[in-house]
Amino acid sequence: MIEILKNRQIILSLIILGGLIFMAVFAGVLAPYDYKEKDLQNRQQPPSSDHLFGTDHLGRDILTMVMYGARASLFVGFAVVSVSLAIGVTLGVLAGYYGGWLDEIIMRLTDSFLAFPSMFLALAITAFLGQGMENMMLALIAVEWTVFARVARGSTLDVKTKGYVRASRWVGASNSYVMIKHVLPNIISPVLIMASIGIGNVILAAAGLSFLGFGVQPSTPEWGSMLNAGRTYFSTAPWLMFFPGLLIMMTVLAFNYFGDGLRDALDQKMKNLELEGRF
Amino acid sequence: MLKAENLRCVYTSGLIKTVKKTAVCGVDLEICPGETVAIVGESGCGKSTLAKMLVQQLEPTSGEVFFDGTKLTGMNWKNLRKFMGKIQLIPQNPDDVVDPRWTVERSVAEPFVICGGFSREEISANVAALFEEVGLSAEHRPRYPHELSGGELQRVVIARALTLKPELLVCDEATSMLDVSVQAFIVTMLKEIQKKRGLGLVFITHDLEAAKAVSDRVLVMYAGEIVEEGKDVFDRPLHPYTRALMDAVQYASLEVVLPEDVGPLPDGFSGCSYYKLCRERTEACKESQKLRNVSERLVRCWKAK
Ligand SMILES: Nc1ncnc2c1ncn2[C@@H]1O[C@H](COP(=O)(O)OP(=O)(O)OP(=O)(O)O)[C@@H](O)[C@H]1O
Ligand code: SF4
Ligand SMILES: [Mg+2]
Repeated sequence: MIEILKNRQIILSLIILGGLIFMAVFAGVLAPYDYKEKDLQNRQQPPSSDHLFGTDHLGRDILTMVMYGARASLFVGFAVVSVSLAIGVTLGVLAGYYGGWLDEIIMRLTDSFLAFPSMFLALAITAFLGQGMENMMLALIAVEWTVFARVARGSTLDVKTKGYVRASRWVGASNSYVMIKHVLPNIISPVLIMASIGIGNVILAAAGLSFLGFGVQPSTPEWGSMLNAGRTYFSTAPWLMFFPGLLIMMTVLAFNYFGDGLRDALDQKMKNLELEGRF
Repeated sequence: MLKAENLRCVYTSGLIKTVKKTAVCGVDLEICPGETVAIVGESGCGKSTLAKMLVQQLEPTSGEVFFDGTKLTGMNWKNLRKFMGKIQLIPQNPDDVVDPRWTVERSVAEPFVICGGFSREEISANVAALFEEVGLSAEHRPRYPHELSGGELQRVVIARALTLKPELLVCDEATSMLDVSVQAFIVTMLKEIQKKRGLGLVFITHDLEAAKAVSDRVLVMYAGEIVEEGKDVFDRPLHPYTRALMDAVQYASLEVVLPEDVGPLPDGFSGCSYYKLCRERTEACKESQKLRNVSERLVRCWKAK
C-alpha cells in the first residue's frame, strides 16, 4: 500500500480528488452563499470578488452551485459504481468460476447490454422510466455493471487454474469458500482499477444525461444541468458553462489518471513479485 | 492401502479438429502403508498425469483407484471429502500452491480451518509444530510466499500437505525445481517424515540416484506404460529402456547411439511401444508386449530373462 503512494501520478490525482471530495462533503460550510438564494438584482454577473465564479441567470452564486454540484456528481459516481461493481463482480466471478451454461447465460446477458452504445441505452432507459436522479442512476448501472462482469470473469478464469484453488478444494473447501477467500482477493486489483476509471465515466455520463434533461431536476445544483441552463446565455455569459465544464473535466481526468496510476503501480508490483527470485 | 487398476488417461484437445493423446495407458499399481515407491521416466511419459489420477485431481478415462478397499473413482465430491486429507499431492510446481496474498502461516492453517473443529490455539500450536517438522523457524511463518526461497516455499507446501495427517503422500518431482544441495536436504527430510509418521510415499522423479536412494520399489514408465517394476531395478535393469535411461544419465555428454530409423510405424501398431528406439529390437517385438513376471520383477519385454 505504501509503495503505491510513491507513484507521482497517483499522488497528484489523489490531491485533486481529495480536494473535490472535501469540497463536496463540506459544501454547506465552505460555500459563500446559499444555493437556493436567488439575487435577481445581480443576474449574470461576471466573476468578481463578491462572486468568484460569477452568477447565473437567476442571480445564484456559481461557486456555491459548483460546490453543491460536486456533491451530486460524486454521489452518483460512487453510488453507481458501487452497485455496478457488486452486481458485475458477483456475476462475473460466478460465470468464470463455474463456466458451462451459467457462464453462457451471464455472458450472453452482458453481450446484449453491450450491443447498444452505452449512452443510447442510458437514454432509452431514462426515457422509459422518466426523468429523475434515481432513474438516471438505474440507467447508468445498467450500462456500467457489464464492465465489471467482464473484468471479473476474465480474471477469475485465470485464478481458477491456480494451484492454491485446487489445493484448497483438495482439503475439502466448498466452492463458495474458494470464491470468497481465494478468487475475490486475487481479482480485486483489476476490478479496483476499472472502478476508478468507471467513476470518472459515470460522472461524465451523468452530466451528459442531465445536460440532455434526463437527469436531476433543474432546480438541484448539478454540473450537467448547470451546463444545460447556461447554454442559452453562452455568448453573453460564458462563465455559466465554463466553471461546471471545468469541474467535470478535472474530476473525470483525475479519476482516469488515478486508475492509470493504480494500474501501473500494481503491474509493477506484480512484476516485482514475479522477478523476486522465483526459480 | 492405495490400489490403482488399469488406469488410463486420454487427453482431448482442440475444439473442431480434436487431437487425442494417450498420456497414461493401463497402469496397475499398489502402494502399501509405509512403503516408498519411486516412479521414473523421461519428460512427458505421463508421470504427472498418473499422480493426478492417483489423488483424484484428474478423472481417469477408464480404470479405478481404491483406498483401503473403497473405490474413489467416480465418487462424488461430498463423499470424497472424507478421503482428501488422507491422500495429498505435492505438485511439480510449488509456486502457485499457496495463495500469493496469504501469509504462509495462514496457508498452512487453511486445511484446519476448512475442516473445522479446531480452536484458534490448537491451530496455531499445530501450525507451529508443522513448521518445525519441516525445518522452518518462527520467523518464516508471517511471511508471504514471495519472501521465501524456493526451498523454503517447498517446505511450506510439504507442511501444508501434512496438516490433515495423510497416509499417502504423492510427490511429483517435488525437488526438481530446486538447487541440488537443497534437493538432497528435502528428500532426506521427506524420508524422515515418512519414517516417523509411517506414510506411504510415491516419489516421482527424473533423478535415478534419488529414486534408488529413497525407494523400496521402482516403477519405470515409458509412453504411459509401466515397462519395468520391482526392487533393485537399477542394479539389474532388465528392460532395454531402463538401460537406455541409465546410460543417458551416465553418458550424458556422449553421443547417444540410436538404432536405424525404421520409418513410420504402421497405423494401429500394437507391438512394443519402445520399438522405434530400442537397440535390441527384433521382428518378434512387433507382437504386443505384456508385463511379465521375470525373477521377482515385472518387465514389458519378451527378451528379458
Ligand atoms: N491438459 C493436457 N491436455 C493435453 N495433453 C496433456 C495435458 N497434460 C499433459 N498432456 C500430455 O500428456 C503427456 C504426459 O504429460 P505429463 O505431464 O504426465 O508428463 P510428465 O511425465 O509429468 O513429464 P515431466 O517429467 O516433464 O513433468 C505429455 O505428452 C503432455 O503433452
Ligand atoms: S520388446 Fe523388443 S523392442 Fe520392446 S523393449 Fe523388448 S527388445 Fe526392445
Ligand atoms: Mg510432470
